[in-house]
Amino acid sequence: MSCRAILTGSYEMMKMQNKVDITPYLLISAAAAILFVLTIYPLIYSLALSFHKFSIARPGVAWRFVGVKNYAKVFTDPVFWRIILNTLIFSCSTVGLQFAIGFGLALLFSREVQIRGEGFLRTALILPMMVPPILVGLIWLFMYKKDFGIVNNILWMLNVGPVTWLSKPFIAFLAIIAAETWEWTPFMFLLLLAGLRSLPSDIYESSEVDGASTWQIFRYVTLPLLKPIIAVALIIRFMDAFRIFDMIFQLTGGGPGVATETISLYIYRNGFRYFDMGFAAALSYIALIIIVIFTNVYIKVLRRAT
Amino acid sequence: MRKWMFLIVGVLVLACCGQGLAAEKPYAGQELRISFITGMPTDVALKSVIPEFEKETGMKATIIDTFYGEVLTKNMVDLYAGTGAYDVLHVESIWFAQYLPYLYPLDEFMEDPRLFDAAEYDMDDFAAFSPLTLSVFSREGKLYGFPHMAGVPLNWYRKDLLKKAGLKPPQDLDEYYNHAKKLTQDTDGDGKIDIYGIALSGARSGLVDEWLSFFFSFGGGLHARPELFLRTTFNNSIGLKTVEYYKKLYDEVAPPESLTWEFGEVGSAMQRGVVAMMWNWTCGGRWYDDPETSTVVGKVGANTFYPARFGLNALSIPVDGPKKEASFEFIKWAMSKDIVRKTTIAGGPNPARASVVNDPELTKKYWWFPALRHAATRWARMYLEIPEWSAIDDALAIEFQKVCSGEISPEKALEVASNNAYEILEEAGYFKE
Repeated sequence: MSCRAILTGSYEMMKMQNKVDITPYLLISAAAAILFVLTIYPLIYSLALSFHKFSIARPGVAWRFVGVKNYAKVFTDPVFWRIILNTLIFSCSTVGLQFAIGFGLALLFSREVQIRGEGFLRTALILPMMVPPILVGLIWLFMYKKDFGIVNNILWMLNVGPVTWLSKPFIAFLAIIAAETWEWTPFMFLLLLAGLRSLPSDIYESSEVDGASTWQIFRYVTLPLLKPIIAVALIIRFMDAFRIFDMIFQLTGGGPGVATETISLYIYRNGFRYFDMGFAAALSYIALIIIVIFTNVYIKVLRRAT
Repeated sequence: MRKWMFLIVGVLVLACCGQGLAAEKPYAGQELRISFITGMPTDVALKSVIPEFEKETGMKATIIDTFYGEVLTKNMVDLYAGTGAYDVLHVESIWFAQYLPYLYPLDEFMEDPRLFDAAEYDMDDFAAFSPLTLSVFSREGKLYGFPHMAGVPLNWYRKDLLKKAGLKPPQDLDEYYNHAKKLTQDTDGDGKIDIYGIALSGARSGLVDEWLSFFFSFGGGLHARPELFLRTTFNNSIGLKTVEYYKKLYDEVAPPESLTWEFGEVGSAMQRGVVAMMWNWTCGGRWYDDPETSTVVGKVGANTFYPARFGLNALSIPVDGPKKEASFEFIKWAMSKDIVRKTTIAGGPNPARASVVNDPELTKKYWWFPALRHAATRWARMYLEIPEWSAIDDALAIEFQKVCSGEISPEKALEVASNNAYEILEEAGYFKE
């Protein structure tokens, strides 16, 4: 091969290398465009809005730049801190309860020995999850009625009550926790049951051969193996519980006072009842930041533990 | 030749008939999308006579029902986006200020003799019901809606229970409380109260209307313009007396769950026979005599002794509505004397026309009409008609609910609520020089 041929060949190769293959970009362009229109643009728009004063009840008045005033108002608002506390207590307690009950049920249903009517029970257990949250609110609203609600009927049979479930701050809070736990425990149950069923049986067999007790197997085999699934289940449920809206909106509307009001209801109230769009956007961003921080801390703690 | 002549004459006759029909039904084939409020008795009644409108005009009316609690949000978002989703809107007077930028004035149609005959339509009939009926939906000389329904809260009471206790209907708030105290009873002796003296509209969305009614009754007042609002407008001795009175009613003579009730639940409590008296809107008046749902048929009476908000609603045309003339045709039809009468008979007992409220035949059926007439002319009033009213309403309701549930004192609630209300107006720019 002559020197020239070598040079020409390397030039052709260089040309080929420099030529940008646009096929992958074309393939993802549709998805990227949808992502931009539906996610990125609204995020940028609402971020910009959070630095402005604007109300759709005064469409003739243009956006007025107010700097960080909306954020300052959020942090100096005593109601906001009460609502954040409500939201965190609600999220942690409901997710904790859902996990405890869901995991217990999953362990029960994952046993090799079949329970009689297991198929029916499993279907019945996951039914609440299929009900739209707004209907869950309505169902529990009727169940909590003092005069004819089933909850008070049961209490009456036990010679207790009647209890006015939604008029006292602490009891109303318990009432919304119960309704949320009822609806979403099946999710936890299904996810953990799938996780338990996917664990390799040989580890269990060798543990038994080594003489491990049931508790030891659970503590040192099941839990560590299930940790990634538990983490996913808890994160998904926490994020969902943090932005709860429909069920509380229907059940208590956030009352009495603001005893059961969570961050989503507060954003809705400011954005869509008072039409203070800038303040509502600032609240949304703060809620987003809180949930991102909480989730990241949780993932880091989990990674360190594993 | 003769055949041709017949044919030509026939075609001409047909064409003339067609033109005549078109002139009679100029909007035939058009579809109107009308936003109504779910379960509102007047809307339900109007829906039942809409087939007449469709037959008369050849138009199709599609009703989009939304619950009271969500209708403002849903409509405002659509109006802001300019989707043209509705041709006719049911507008509550308390939200009129929020809707106003999106409403089309009706004067243009009312001044067009082709579309409207003012003398025949008798607009004075609306004003004769209450001077507020037309003024509430007017701004700068323009009318933005025809009054669709009008109501004022009355005191509804159980005639049989009052008679049994040897009482006459209360005439002031002291009597209201004293009667309620006497009427709160454990009828079967099991240690639990079976009949409460009153029911409260204590939910966040209902509390302030009732509270303000008592506040006005004790001598409190609200400024005509937001610029005049003070931190002491509510936070004064009358405000404190009203909060304490409200808490006393809640603690002693009202069902504890009435902190979550508004007019529907309060009305339902009366229907079930568990309350003896209540402050409630007239739109539910028919419920108590409905043998299918009420246990107190013929036992309920009504009187009025407190000022209260004029619960006026209108039908309006949105600016982005694509068929404005056809929409006006619907509004004009729906609020005509004949249809208002029919709607009232069909179960929407909130006519905004004096001629219908004064109709002796209807007064026989709707026995509370005299009390309604009296309340509309003597007691009805409006609050500040500003977009910020919803926020002020919530600021008051949230704190007063806390008082009822024992979280804070009446003094603290008034201080916080008044300051919050003031700051809402301050931030909106009402106090600038």
